Amino acid sequence: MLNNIYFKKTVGIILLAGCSKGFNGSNSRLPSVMSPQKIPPVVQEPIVAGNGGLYSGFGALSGPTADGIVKRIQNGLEKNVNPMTGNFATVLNQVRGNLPKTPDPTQATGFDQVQLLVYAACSDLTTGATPLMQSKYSVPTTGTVAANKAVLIAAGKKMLDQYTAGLATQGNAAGQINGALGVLVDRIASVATNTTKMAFMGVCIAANTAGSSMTGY
Amino acid sequence: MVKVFKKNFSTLSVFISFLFILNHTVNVFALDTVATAKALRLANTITGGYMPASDPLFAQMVTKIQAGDMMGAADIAAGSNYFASYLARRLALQMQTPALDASNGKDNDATAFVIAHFVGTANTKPSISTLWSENATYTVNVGGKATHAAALTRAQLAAVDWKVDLIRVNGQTAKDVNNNVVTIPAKHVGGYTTLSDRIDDNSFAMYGAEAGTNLRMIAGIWQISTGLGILDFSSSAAPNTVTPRFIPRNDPNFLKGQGQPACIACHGGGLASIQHGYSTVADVFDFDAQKGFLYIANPTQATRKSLGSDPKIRAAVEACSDPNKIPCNPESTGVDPNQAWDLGAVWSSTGMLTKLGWTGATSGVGLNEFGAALGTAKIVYENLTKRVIYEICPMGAFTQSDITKIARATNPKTGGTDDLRTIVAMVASHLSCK
Repeated sequence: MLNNIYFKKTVGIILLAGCSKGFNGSNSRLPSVMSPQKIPPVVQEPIVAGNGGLYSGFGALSGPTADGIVKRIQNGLEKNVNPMTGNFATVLNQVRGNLPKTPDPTQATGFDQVQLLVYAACSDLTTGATPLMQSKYSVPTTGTVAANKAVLIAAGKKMLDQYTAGLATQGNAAGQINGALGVLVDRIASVATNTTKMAFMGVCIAANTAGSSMTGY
Repeated sequence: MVKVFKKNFSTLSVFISFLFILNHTVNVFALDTVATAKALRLANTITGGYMPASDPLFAQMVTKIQAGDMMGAADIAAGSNYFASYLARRLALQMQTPALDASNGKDNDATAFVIAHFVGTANTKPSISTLWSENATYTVNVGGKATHAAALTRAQLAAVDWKVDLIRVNGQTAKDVNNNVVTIPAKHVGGYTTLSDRIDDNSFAMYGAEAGTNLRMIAGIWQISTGLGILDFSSSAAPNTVTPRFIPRNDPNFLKGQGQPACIACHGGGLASIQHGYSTVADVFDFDAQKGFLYIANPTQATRKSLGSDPKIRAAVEACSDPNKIPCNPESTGVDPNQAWDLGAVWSSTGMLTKLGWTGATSGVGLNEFGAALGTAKIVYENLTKRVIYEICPMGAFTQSDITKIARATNPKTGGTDDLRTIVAMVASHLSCK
């Protein structure tokens, strides 16, 4: 899906570039009253670096690379996970070579591996007698998913806030974020055998995959 | 568990990401949404996501943006230790081979040197212009002990603050042919390109001087510093005498290529000419699989790579008595034993020096003088600008005028700062990147 988004953006750029480059007065079949000589020449320097994003903001659509993704996950989880220990380290060793190598979103591959890496990092929060999901995110390991819905959503928003400097809870997107996480928890809760720990994993993976893979940020 | 969640989460995660992008730029609530979103964009592209939003520097960036000072905000990110750990280090790792691929890189003396030149140290200023000439080694301060970057454990590496932990040590060392540590004479020091303290460190020295004829070494210096390809430098307007001795003069492609560029175009008029820097490295350096980077103070016929990659036939190449049996060029003057170089002889007439924006000496003796002149060429700063654009604003739109302006603000020859962070801040605050 990410590739699909990149594809659309790339196509957009090509179309925009085509609009400006394709108009060539000397080759167009204009009536004599509109001969090329009478059209003020548009002096535009060619683009020599960058893929040619023409609008403010669009040009900065860079994506995170491997080291950045690892650090983002670590920051997103407030350094409660360590890429040199636990499941995070194990999976990182396995997927590091597949993570995106280039910041150019039209060429980068490997964002699918981010989800696996996040899965491993999140799982490190669920181990031990008093796991970090409980001590750091206030999500108990007991009780039903439905009963713990509020704290699960709060945990997800807390994580997303790390990636967005608080915008997940303090922008008007906060309601949408709340709703999306609520739907996610409800779906997990709808399967009777799912546990709160599984729901926490779900919220954690969703929040941190989105946060660590943000393009342009 | 993965199977249970994967489908829903992949869709949701992208959806959430999309919502953020939609809403970042249009809402003002308790937080200044617009300024915060811009600060996030700058911080994450410049530091790769290393800077957490909870860092006080991030709040300073937001304040700068609220005051309309995008470049000031970018400066804060570029001046942080997060930048040193991410982008400066990434660019340094890339510069160990012309492929510019950081993913296979290892931290080593050469990468530490480059990082120090990009962000400075406690006692030295940043200096792009001396990347290929400064006679120094940079080690890492680990608990008060100077440690080579390649010797750091993963835990130590993760804890390094590249902005403050680097220590400058005068001079550079290598091994001699007997595996003793020796000081490289200043004349032969090529900045980061002559730094390597061990085997398998993936340094530029390892890339350039291992096996072969050291043509890779001089070509790599040119390619990485300018961003140009080998054929960009080629020209058939060169005499036979300036090709290395081991180039087969009786090859039918020597003077006129048939289905390929003529051999003389690269080996006489391009990067592999003995005049264009090859003499400064050819017989002086080697990279031995057991000993590591070698400085050869007294080259012998057996060690001279300018006579070919195979030590067994170097005597025959030098004699060149039977070119049909041992490919060689009897007209070659051979590399200069005093390591002289002269870029003007061919390139002043082909326009190559103009293309490079060469402002330094066009001739000299030794790799150090060559590197010092290279560090003043306009193209070096333009190339770094393009590389930074690719890293933090790959979808941007930069004209040659934009790049020239940024390069001039950085090139000390035009009154610039000699500081990579000037490039970073100017690129990040460019209209197409904001």
